[in-house]
Amino acid sequence: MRFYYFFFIFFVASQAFSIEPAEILSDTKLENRARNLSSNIRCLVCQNENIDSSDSEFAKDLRLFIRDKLVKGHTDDEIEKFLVSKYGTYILFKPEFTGYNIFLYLFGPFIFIFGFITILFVFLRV
Amino acid sequence: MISELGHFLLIAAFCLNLGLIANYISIKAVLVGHTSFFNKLESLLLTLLAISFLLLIISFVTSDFSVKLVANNSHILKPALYKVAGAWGNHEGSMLLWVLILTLYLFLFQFSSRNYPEVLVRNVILVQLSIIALFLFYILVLSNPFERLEFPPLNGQDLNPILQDVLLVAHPPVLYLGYLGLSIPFSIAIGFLLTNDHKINIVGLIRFWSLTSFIFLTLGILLGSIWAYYELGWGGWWFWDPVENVSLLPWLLNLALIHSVLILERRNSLLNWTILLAIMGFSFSMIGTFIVRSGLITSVHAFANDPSRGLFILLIIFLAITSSFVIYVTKRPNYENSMKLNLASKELWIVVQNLILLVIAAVVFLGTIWPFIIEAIFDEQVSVGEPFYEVSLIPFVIIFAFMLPIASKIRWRRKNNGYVRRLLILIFISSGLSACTFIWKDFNLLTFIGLFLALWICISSILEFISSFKSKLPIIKGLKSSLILNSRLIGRTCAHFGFGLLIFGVTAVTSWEIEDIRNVEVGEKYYLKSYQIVFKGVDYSVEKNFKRVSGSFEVYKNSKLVGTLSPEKRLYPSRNEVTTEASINPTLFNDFYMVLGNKLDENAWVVRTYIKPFISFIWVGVILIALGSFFSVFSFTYKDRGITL
Repeated sequence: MRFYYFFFIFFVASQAFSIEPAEILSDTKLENRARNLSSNIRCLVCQNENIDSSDSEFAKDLRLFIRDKLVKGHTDDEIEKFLVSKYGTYILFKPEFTGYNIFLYLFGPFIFIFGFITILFVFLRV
Repeated sequence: MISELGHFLLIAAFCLNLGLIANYISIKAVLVGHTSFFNKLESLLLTLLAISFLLLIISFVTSDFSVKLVANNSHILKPALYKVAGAWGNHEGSMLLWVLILTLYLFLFQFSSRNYPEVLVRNVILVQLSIIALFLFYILVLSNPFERLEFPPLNGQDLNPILQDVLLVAHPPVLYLGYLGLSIPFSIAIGFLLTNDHKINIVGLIRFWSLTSFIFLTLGILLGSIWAYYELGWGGWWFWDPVENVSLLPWLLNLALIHSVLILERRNSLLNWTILLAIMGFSFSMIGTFIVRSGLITSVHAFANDPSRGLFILLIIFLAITSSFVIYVTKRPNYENSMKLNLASKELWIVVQNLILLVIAAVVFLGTIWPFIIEAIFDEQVSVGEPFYEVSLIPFVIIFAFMLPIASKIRWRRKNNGYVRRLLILIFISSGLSACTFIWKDFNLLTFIGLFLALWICISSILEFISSFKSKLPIIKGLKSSLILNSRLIGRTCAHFGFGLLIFGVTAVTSWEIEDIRNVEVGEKYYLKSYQIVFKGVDYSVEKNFKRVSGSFEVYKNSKLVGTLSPEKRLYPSRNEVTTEASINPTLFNDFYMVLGNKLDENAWVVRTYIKPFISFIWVGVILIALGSFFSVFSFTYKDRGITL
């Protein structure tokens, strides 16, 4: 039984687990910006998780990287651009408003306006 | 022997199914008066499938590891409840459940259709039988749940530990009851188009079955959401995971369907639109299954990794959807739009709200499949996640929620003078009340809008209830008859009020959540807002199929004990997986949510604590939406009741 406990404790302890106290910045403004950034950044080795909620080493490295850059005074945009240039657009949960993604963003408003005009024409006979 | 019998029953069911289809196609063979005989055959079909499913459950309960499915998804030490649930916690078993529920709905449909023309009923049954046949064929050819192993293992591979949960035992069947409940409005719509007699009134049928499906869909999604809240250890309740998105699609379309039926019922118009919604609703249910089952998406829900299966399911769905749209385009009723609308007409508001629901569904659908489209066309990888959905959906949700009380308030055939002033006063009051909140909290525009919408919807639905209830029937005439007569009003108020609570809960949790992550030593005390938390220690124990470490925390407020929390970590040796079990102390206004993190040394642990304000309002709101639909199911159409408006 003791062996099991040992194994268990060892195993549990070896699991990284999302944000850790040591990572958190003392400057709350910077920390909030870091959180905001993280929510948009995908953990590339997980399933549909952002780096804040992920347990992986990869996510931990990125969390530390973001905070390091923030402390050095980089803007949010610069950090996102850097991550995209290194890992590709896959890393952002919110696709950039460029190229084919413009279609994705305008799809909803487009069918709304189109549908609305159709309704006005059909029912109100403007 | 058991599994061979199960397999045999499936084959028998398939043969019976084909025979029934052949009979229904050659209409003359079904003579008037013989329908009861065919009804009995349909009951037989249901019985065969039910026994077959029962035999699968028996294989799981008796841990018969010579059956491949049991060996892959069960374990001898697994608690009995999860052995039973193992039968549908995998691809093959869940497909069998899928067909079983389709047949169950066919069986139940016969009771609801007694007063309808036989030609319609026969067509509906034919359509439903064809859907069953397609999926049954798929099961027999590619996804046999009763497949044997040549060399059975001594023990099974167990069910994914995070799925071993009481809520998740109920989640798939309930959600399936919702998804497949939409098959009946679908079959009614197609069957109706096939009759070529567009004078038949199908409003009551569609209304009954879409509401029934809506109740189960809502509850099924709720169960999954609550599970994610306490099991995934992050306190989130909606993750915009592709699988969650696809369950939202039929829900949104069904919601639109329920409301467009209102117009069809009162005005006898929008028939085409309602039929189209009924077709699209079930189509999205099937697309949802396809996305979940095909292995296109890796998640806890992806069971099938065999590409031929994915292709086959895609073919089935493609066949069903295209043929139904072809039927729609060629056979749709040619009716002249007779509505004369102006800005103050209820129809216009409901139609625009229908449109918004459709837009939301379209955005969610496109967002979900966008990564696949981009990969296929440009060979590039993009992600679409929570921040995207928030940006692109919140404006539509705001417009939708703002319109709701107005659309609900406008009377069908009366002058609406005086309403504008009352509505304006109500808007003024709700925005004033929500502005008051910012005396205590920092101002945030979205929070303000959320609070305003919640108040606006809740207050106006209650006021509407009070005024409408009185105007119909005095309560003196007997509470029971009054309840029956007002069941629609009660249902509507309940559902709309629930929607208001839901908005309030979402706003409160996202705006005012408190998070605390720190290293805590055994015996240490720390403060969070006005709470004092004491870490009493950790405890190790071994259960039947897992080992656990649990922390023990006491929470005090004003030196009074408010709760004891024991967040856990569990190790499941059969799969060598660790799960976190958050400990939650729920109260009406605040959830105290704790998660045990890493062990730092002999005495210190990382502990995450959240205070989640008003999260219970989300659950209560959704339950009220389901309850409201439940009340509405038990009202009949206005024409049936002989009440004129």
